[in-house]
Amino acid sequence: MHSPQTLEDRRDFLARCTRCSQCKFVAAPRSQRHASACPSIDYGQFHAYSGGGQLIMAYGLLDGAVPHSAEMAGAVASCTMCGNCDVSCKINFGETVEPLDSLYALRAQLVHDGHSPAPHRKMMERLRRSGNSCGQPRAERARWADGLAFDGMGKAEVLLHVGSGLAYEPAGWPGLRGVVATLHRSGIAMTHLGNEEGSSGSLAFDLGYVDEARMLAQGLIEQARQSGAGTLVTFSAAALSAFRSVHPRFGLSFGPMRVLHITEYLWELVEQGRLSLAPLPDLKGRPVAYHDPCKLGRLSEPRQTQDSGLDNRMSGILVSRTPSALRFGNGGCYEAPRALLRAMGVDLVELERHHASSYCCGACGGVRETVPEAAALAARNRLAELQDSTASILVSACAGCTGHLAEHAGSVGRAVQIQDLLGLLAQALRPVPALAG
Amino acid sequence: MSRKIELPPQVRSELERIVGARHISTDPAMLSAHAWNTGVGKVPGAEKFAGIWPVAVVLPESTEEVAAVVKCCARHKLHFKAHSTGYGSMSNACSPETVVIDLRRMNRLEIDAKNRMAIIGPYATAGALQAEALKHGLTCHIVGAGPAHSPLASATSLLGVGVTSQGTSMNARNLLSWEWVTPQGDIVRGGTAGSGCGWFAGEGPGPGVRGMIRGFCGAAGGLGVFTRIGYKLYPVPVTGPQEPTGRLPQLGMRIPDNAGFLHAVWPDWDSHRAATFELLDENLCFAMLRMPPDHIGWTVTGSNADYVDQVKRGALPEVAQPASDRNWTLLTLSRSPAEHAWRLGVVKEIVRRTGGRILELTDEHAEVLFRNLFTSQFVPRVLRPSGGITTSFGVLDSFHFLPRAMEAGQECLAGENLPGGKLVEGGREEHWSWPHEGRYLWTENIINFDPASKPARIAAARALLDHFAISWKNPVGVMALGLGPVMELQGEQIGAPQRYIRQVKNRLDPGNASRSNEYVLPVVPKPVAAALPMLKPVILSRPVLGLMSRVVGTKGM
Amino acid sequence: MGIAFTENASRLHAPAGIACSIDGAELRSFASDGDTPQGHVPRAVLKPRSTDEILSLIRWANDSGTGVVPVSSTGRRRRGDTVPARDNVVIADLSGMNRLLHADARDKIAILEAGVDFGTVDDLLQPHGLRALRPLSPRAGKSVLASFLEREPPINANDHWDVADPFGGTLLVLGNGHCAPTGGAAIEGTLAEQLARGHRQMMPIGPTNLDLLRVLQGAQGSLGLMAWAALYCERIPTMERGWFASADALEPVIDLARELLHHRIGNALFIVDRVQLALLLARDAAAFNALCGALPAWTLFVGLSAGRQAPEEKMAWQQADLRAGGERHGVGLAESLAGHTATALGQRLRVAEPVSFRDRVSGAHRELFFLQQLDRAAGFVPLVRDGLTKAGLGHLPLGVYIQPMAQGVYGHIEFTLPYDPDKADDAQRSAAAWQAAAERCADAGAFFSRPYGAWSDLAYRHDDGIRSMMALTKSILDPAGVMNPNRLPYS
Ligand code: SF4
Ligand code: SF4
Repeated sequence: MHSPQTLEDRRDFLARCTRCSQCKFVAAPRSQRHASACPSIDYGQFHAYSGGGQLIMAYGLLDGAVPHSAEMAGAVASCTMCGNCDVSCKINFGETVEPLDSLYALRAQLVHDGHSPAPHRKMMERLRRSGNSCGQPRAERARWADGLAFDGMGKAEVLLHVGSGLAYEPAGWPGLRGVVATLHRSGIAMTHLGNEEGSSGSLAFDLGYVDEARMLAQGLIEQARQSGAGTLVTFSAAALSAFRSVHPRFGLSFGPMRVLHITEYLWELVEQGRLSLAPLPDLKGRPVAYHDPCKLGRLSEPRQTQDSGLDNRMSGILVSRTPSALRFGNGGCYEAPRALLRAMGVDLVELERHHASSYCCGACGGVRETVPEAAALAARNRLAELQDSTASILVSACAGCTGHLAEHAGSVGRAVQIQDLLGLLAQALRPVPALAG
Repeated sequence: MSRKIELPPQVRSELERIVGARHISTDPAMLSAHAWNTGVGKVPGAEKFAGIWPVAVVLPESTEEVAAVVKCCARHKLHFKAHSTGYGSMSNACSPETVVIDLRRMNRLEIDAKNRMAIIGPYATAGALQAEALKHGLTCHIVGAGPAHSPLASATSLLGVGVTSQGTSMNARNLLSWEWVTPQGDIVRGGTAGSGCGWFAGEGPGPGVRGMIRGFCGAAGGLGVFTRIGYKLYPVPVTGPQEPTGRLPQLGMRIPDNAGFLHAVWPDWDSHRAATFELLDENLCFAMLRMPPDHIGWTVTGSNADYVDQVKRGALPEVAQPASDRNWTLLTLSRSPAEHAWRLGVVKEIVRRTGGRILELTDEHAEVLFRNLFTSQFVPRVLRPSGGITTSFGVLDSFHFLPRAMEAGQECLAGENLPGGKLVEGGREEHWSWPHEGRYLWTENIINFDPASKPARIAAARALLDHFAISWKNPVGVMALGLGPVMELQGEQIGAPQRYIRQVKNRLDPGNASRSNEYVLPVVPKPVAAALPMLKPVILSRPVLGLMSRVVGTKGM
Repeated sequence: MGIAFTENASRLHAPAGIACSIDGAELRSFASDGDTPQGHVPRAVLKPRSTDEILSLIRWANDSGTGVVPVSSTGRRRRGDTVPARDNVVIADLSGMNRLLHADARDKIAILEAGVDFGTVDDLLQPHGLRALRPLSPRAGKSVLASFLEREPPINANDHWDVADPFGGTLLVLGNGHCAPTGGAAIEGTLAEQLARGHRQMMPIGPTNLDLLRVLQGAQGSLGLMAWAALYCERIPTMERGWFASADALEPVIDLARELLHHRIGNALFIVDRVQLALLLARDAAAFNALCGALPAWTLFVGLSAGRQAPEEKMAWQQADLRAGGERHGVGLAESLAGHTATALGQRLRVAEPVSFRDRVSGAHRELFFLQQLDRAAGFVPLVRDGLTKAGLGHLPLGVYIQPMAQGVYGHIEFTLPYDPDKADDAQRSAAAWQAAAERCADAGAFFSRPYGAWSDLAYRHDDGIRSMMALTKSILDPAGVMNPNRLPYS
């Protein structure tokens, strides 16, 4: 059985951190104001809050030099697990440090040692109880679908996975329902998992609850298998990230089932001519920036089930045993959302930090729930970046990012508008009538 | 961990009053980053944590807060150590009574484009500074530590040499006016800032007293805290943020219009040197860099796996082949097609006339190598192969010495970097060389080793120590590593600078509160000082060097 | 004239072997200078011929408590820094140490003794294919090393990377009686041994944590003196041509200068107003007056040159860029002004004359100079000009010279007020007006990096700890206080 690496497994990787601080900054900064890669250090300021700083702390924990403490837990809890440090570190250190894998292992170690921060424990309790970390009732998970027509299990070609973020966020339902309705009208046979839809394990893994993440992943995979659908389409960036980069750590997969994010799926249909996108008059000619959600972007880069060990070659060169599995941040889901936006006639602009170097909005990794000030600061930083661009509209393809950014949009100077991509798609998507013959 | 000091509650509350409770920590978790023994540029021991941990770390926001922290330390007989980005643990605490002053919150960065300078605080990084400067068609000198380092720290407190020195000088000379908190907590502004006239010049009125506190090397935290400087920038015909080309991690940079980017090789060092003297003419090149071919190989490959694979398959591009070791990467920057034609034409003609050859580069390799030269982005990759580097033959003099430096580099590696040796396999030598301001040579022989292996650490220490022996037997130029204890051995022959430095240290910092292991030894008993130069031959003898290498390889330095 | 003084050489007990003069006239000649009417008469003029002799002189001074004022230049000195500021002082006259010790076109470096002056330096260097970087038309007797040790800016602004330029390694003799090799000279062995090994003393900084060259620059001989130095030189160009770039206002001229500096075009670049240019060009008062009427208000002198690499091509693109820059900034380009070609001026600037060009027309001049950024330079001109007018001295010509330094990071801003020393009224009133001008400039942000005469006190009116650093420096390098005593405020 595959298991994610423990902190002990990561010992040599931790030891190789050169404390160069590169992980605090994006690889190619375009300004000082937006040079940071790491919302955690932006909040905490002490080096220990950075990717590299956490590695050193983690080594201290292994070594016995650093005991558990509230400050350690605070630093760990301020990290959004956004993975930006990993991208920056790998620019120069390739396979030899890979900070993100160690950050996961550090959180797991905290859980193992009984030092998981209290809010994390609470979120996990709720997740166990009701299948979502907010403690929303299981019975209401599929309320979003009320009144929509679906094809029954076994008949559907596509299984929709909504994710708890959107499933319990009524503000996002019009978009969700609109998209689903259009798909329906296009003749796509769909189903969903209803109130019993399971968690992908993404959050549990982020919080360091490895065993539970495995169980959740297994459960969802089993549900999906039973649906009989050939394609799993998720509306959740976090779930996509789990499917592509967490499940393989457990040796788990959806097998022959295709797994796509809704944006990838829709773009595929557009390219196949089954859907079209009408220009959105509201956005026409207005510069719009796209926020790459961490989970949909770099954290969705597919990971192989692999041996991430290193061999020592040429008297000291540390070489990945599975070089084809090395991930540098290129393989995330970046293009589909952009393509969809462009197809809606939007004048797409890039923020200073984009694609693999996108700056986290602060919502993920449990930070929003645990260290709300840190999450708020990250959001404000991201919004400031929008303000420094030519755009005043920010679109995200993750309900978590959209909600969190929107919550803080009022606290920054110039008026900014936060838009969920799904909502825009619901307005713009048109089924293309099948050609006769 | 060594003897752990507890910060008395009263001191803590005083410090809290200065920086705010949120900006002080005594928790080992927060302190660990200040006791991490990476050994970058040095040879680490077997332990990852240093023997000495600081007693606290504070995050001041202003010069006044720094001064207050220093004074608080003085009142309570504590020591302090300034720390900007802390690249490679360059600024670890040197006593358990040390309060680390982490300057992260002091990241002021102001570009004065017309006057081609910036005013920066300790945490304005080179990457951020370059990004801001480029908006105005300016760039900055970036030392080998790469974009994440602090130009202020480099300019005031360390060496300050980087790969574009041909066009961007070095940081001792890029430092303009300066603001400094003395080891006793006084705020001193040097040059124009002291007279309230701006930040553009560092000397005067009268003598240039900064020469007492920053020479070729800075005091590495041994002499108070520098908090703000004027810093010289360099105009380039490149404006605006540069969108990277290529795919991670092989980010490239588009070669600007009217720029020449060439990689040339020569059949031997004599013809390479003859070409060099001509290439230094008339500011032809903005940058000239000689990298050892294996390091070029690391630059053009995204991972160690890719590098080793290409070595084994013989697939590395010619620039990275061992035979291409007598090389220059040459960058010309021009502002018009006519100027470009002149520069490129002349450079090509010099290469041809001196028997050199220009190698083909794919667009991807050219853009990656160009990015590296322009931003120093991948220079820190020298740590990728094994995670351990130290250096030798940081020397400066006429290019006359280039062939000799190469020989000496080979001599100190003593074949340990050949297959089967204890150091990472590489070329004959591992010199990075470049000119300064069209004038003199800087060359540095990088020693790569596996820090997890004791025999490798010993071999690295040996190569490092041997370099002193080789240099002193037959100098190759001014030695960059003439620091701290090394000066006790060498100083008497070159005007005894260590005696003056010791006086400066003791007068400004009688209690050695601003403690650094990379600055002068504050106390050397007279008999020892007298005996050391005489003992030099003994210290440099083979058996003693061997013994010292073993100690360094075991305990670290 | 100063205090009457007689002494015989034997009473002095000067170190044996050093040439010593106690000739009254010679001694008295050191008790004043061009703008310092009355100082102390030295006890003797000692004329060491070697570093060893300098060392024994300084050691003797330490033992005997005698002050030492180093002087390397000859002819009419100015600015007071070589006039003893107390009694019991000897002059260390290094002007006889005037050898070229080494020159090398390959590395563009020459090693000169302290007494080599601008009148002879290029003749010494010429056989080696080199010539010296130089300030604006220095007088012939001015020591090259002393000039740069005083931070006199060279007109070769593009080669002035840093204030230490054009120095490479140097050999200093400190007030404590010890030699201090700096930069590239701080390496094992004698100079001859170093040269034989191939060292070229090219590094300007260090050794290690010290930069004593930088410390002694601007110290006016009050910490030590320089026996020899490696200086960066210019290879003699194969082609050279001068240009005048003129405009009615200063700002566009500065803008063009900035652009050229940012492009590193021009082996010589400086800005002058019509008076200063007339002073440079005119041989007599009539010509001066005519030129003042004929020259444009502001002129940037641009010397373009090319070396051995495709020189015609280089000249062509430089000229094209210069022309384009001129057009962009609305600055007129001319090869000659009022019958004087820029190329000829460029050549003349290399020929040092015994008398400063600033004195050529009226016989005397006042000077005021300081540093400020180039974009703030223009603001000082009306300050000084209006002050003179208010003082009833509007009839005197006022020359302005702006020398970009550190490749344009800042500039040396200099005002020249030529006057007839025989017109007592002008002389007296201008002294007071000049002091007032210095104060006004100080208030407007003038930085007096070189504290002389009228502004030596102004320079230190802010004290952000620099004076305590100076005191520390003095106590380490010259603990007995023998070097140029009372010259700078060390206590
Ligand atoms: S994690 Fe990587 S980038 Fe960060 S400090 Fe460590 S080595 Fe540097
Ligand atoms: S994962 Fe994100 S928040 Fe956490 S340390 Fe890395 S960059 Fe910072």
